[in-house]
Amino acid sequence: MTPRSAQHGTIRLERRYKAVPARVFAAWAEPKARAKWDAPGRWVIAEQSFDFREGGRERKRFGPRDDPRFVADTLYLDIVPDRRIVFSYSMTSRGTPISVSLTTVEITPDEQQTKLLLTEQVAFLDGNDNAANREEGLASMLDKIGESLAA
Amino acid sequence: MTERSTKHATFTIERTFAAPPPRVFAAYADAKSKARWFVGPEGWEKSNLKLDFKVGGRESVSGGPPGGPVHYYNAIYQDIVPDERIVLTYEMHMDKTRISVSLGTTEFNPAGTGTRLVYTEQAVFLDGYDDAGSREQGTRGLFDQLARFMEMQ
Repeated sequence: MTPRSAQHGTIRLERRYKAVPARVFAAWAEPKARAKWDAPGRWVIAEQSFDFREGGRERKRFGPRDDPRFVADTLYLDIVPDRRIVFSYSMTSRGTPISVSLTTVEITPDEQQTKLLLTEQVAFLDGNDNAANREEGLASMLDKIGESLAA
Repeated sequence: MTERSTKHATFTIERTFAAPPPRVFAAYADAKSKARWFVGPEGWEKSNLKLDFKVGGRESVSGGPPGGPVHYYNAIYQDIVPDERIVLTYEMHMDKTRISVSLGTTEFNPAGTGTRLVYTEQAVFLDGYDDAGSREQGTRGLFDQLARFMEMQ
């Protein structure tokens, strides 16, 4: 029997991008733009569906190239164009629960740049992930957004 | 242009019950049972609770004081471990305005012959609905109703 546990945490990350808010928002809203950064580090996306609207659900399978075993099931809860995205996602690995997250992305103009503030409230399940590891993954993806906007 | 803002908050509520975990869990999993305790305060007008208790399934209920705003609760189940854990996300609307989105984790731990229930809510309150503890207070009220329901079983 699996020993069950839930560890709760909140991760906050901030980035400034040299792009207008509409382009930063599009990096999340547009499938082509999102596919450029939506997995951490050198991990790959094996399958991905898109349904970016309030109430929309998406599924993404991703992970290391030789074993993309992680599945993220996303539900969009609140979308304010160019300003805010609130979504939840559960993460599993071959059916084993890893975490459930509630993520808030806030986009605001900041002089000639755009500030992005990401707040992820997470329940890590059964010891299968932790806040430090998740923060590293999210930071990697936010850095990739910056690279995709500069390209 | 609407002023946009967010406020993130976390609170935890613990309760102990004389009944073992499967019986407390059943008060969540069974729609008729849940409708008995997961309702607004005395005197509120209420809709029927709809519950599809499975991962990916939805739950909804609404209610409010007579003549006052209607509170709409809409949830989706994210993780279920029978008799042990329920993780869901839910959003609240007041009339047509979305006021919050929450991640709720309920853990059913054995405690002697009874159950220690731990509920953790991680919430984001939207656009000035800075709720100053009223969500936690309201949720405590629901657990009072759950305790009364369990005592009658």
